[in-house]
Amino acid sequence: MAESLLYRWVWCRIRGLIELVLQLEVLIKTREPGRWLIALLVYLGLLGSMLTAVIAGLTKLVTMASNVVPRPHALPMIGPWWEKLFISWPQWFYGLGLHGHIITGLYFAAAAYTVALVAALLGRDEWLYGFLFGEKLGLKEFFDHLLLWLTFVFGAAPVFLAPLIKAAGGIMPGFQSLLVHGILGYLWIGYSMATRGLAYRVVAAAFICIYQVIFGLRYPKVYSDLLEKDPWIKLLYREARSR
Amino acid sequence: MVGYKPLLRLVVYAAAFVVVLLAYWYLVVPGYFVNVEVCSKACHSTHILDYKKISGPFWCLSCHGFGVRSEIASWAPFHVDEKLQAAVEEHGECLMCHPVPGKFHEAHLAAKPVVKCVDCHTDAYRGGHTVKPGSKPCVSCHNPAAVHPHLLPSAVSYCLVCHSERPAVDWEKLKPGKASYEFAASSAKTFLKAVGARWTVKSYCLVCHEEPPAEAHKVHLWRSIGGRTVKCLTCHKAGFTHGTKPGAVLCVECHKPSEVPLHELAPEKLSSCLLCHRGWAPGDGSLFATGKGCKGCHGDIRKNVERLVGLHYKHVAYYGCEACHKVDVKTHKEFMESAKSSGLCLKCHTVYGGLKPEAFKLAQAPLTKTEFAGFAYHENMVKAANGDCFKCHYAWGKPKLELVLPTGG
Repeated sequence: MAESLLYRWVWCRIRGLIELVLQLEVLIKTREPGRWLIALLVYLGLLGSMLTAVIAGLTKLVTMASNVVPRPHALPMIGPWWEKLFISWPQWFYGLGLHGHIITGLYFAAAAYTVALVAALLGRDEWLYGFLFGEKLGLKEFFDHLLLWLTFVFGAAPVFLAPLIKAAGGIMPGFQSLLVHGILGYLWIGYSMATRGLAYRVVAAAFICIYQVIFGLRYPKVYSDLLEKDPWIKLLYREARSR
Repeated sequence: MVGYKPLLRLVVYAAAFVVVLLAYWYLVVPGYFVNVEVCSKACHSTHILDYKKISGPFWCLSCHGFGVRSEIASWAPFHVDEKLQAAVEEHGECLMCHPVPGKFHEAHLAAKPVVKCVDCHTDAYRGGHTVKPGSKPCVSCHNPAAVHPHLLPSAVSYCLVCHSERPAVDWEKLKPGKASYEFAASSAKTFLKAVGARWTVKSYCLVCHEEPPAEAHKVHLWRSIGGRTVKCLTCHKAGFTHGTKPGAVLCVECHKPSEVPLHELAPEKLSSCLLCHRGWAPGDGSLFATGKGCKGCHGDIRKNVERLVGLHYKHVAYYGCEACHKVDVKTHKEFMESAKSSGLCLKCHTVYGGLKPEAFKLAQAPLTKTEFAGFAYHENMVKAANGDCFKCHYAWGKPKLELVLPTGG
């Protein structure tokens, strides 16, 4: 049945936007609110923490270089004072960068990923197993998740590593201890993207949604394998078709 | 239709998620507050937002406005500290993170018209968040030259050395009458260090004060006397209170008034050198114009006329000082020098030593023509002295030529 013009030009774009944030298609197709919730939190958490890690990394360099004032306000860039957007690099660093990273990483990704992993491995939840590892759990997937775990663990480095660095005479033990977390995190993003691991799949899911928002009922051909075989991503777009 | 198993899974997964989240939060975040200084010593340690109060992962939702109205959700019922909100609106958002450091800042925040943080911390938004403001902003409201008229402009241009929360120099003690000259000198040394001065001074007093222009200071300062150089602290003794003027007791450390010619004539005046030697302060007119005139010191000169010698013996009874001296001069020395011209004598006297009509005009007491008619041979004496009257008629002391009348006249 041919889709109506309204659907092809408007509704599919709105749906792309909804999927980008809520992934309701997964809930509708699986009718599993628990799995949907955990998958959504992992997806949003990892996507958000990757994005905020990049923001924090870049803006930290700016703040260090320019020594600009950190402002405690919440997101002034959508407030009335537009000019603050251009002078508040620390706002991006502290607000979106650090706090956004903590919220998406710790509050969303770490907790939900742990639940998903336990449910997949110990609870034998096959859908969550597929969500986490894709089609199969091979050696590259193992290292992918190992790196992610190490990143999580070293995210808590200020608790166990900072006192040691302080005792050794470190000048900024807090941030110095987080350096390992940062290095591992960027390494994981690079490795996972290169090996088409979890990061690649999360970014792909988001990119497919954005692509749909922009181009309507189409998706980039490069993701066709994911849309056909991936236990999670294939649920996202019923009508998606190759460009 | 969702079955009971999916619902059960939802409950289990959601509960597990909450438990894991809380566990992770308590394992991680308190450690951040303790060990990451920017968390515990910067934003999360204001009087409103103490990190020790943050008791759980969703605590921030209770007062996300950081004590002031949120910019993006001003309608939200977040906790708002009215006092802080008012201070932020009046002085700037700096107060959201930074407590008022102390009395110096408090005084400025209480000032009218309203002072904003960025009025002084001008570079806070321009890449200088941690840069302390210099003295430049001070002069936009204060006039150092008017406040400190007795201090050098170069010194008062460094306001913050003395006026700040923790000043390098304790200006309260530097006020006249508080601490010693030694303290003032050491403060000046501290001042130079604080401003990173590369210049040197002959005396630490000159860091703040200009070299006094008064005659007496010029005569004394930097002179080498008895193998030592006279500096500020030579007279303004280290132990004396800053701002007090040295008394005569210091003069006699170097000078012996009793050995200075003529000082023995007025022993009752010797108790205070400054009674006559007034050149320490900048000139305030002339000696005559100090209000006392010559008679202020020499008022009883006519009573003691029998003790006078030389020219004064004959003249004081009839003429005022101004007949021979310039009285509108600044120093006594100048006053004395002004009468050392023989031309002055010829104003009233003939070359025979007699009186001209002007002498009668200027006289303040009756004169008779016969009293001093003159001598014929006096003309020869004038020639012998090359017209210099003072070779025979000395003012106070002994004559330079032993010609006539060793007692003068």
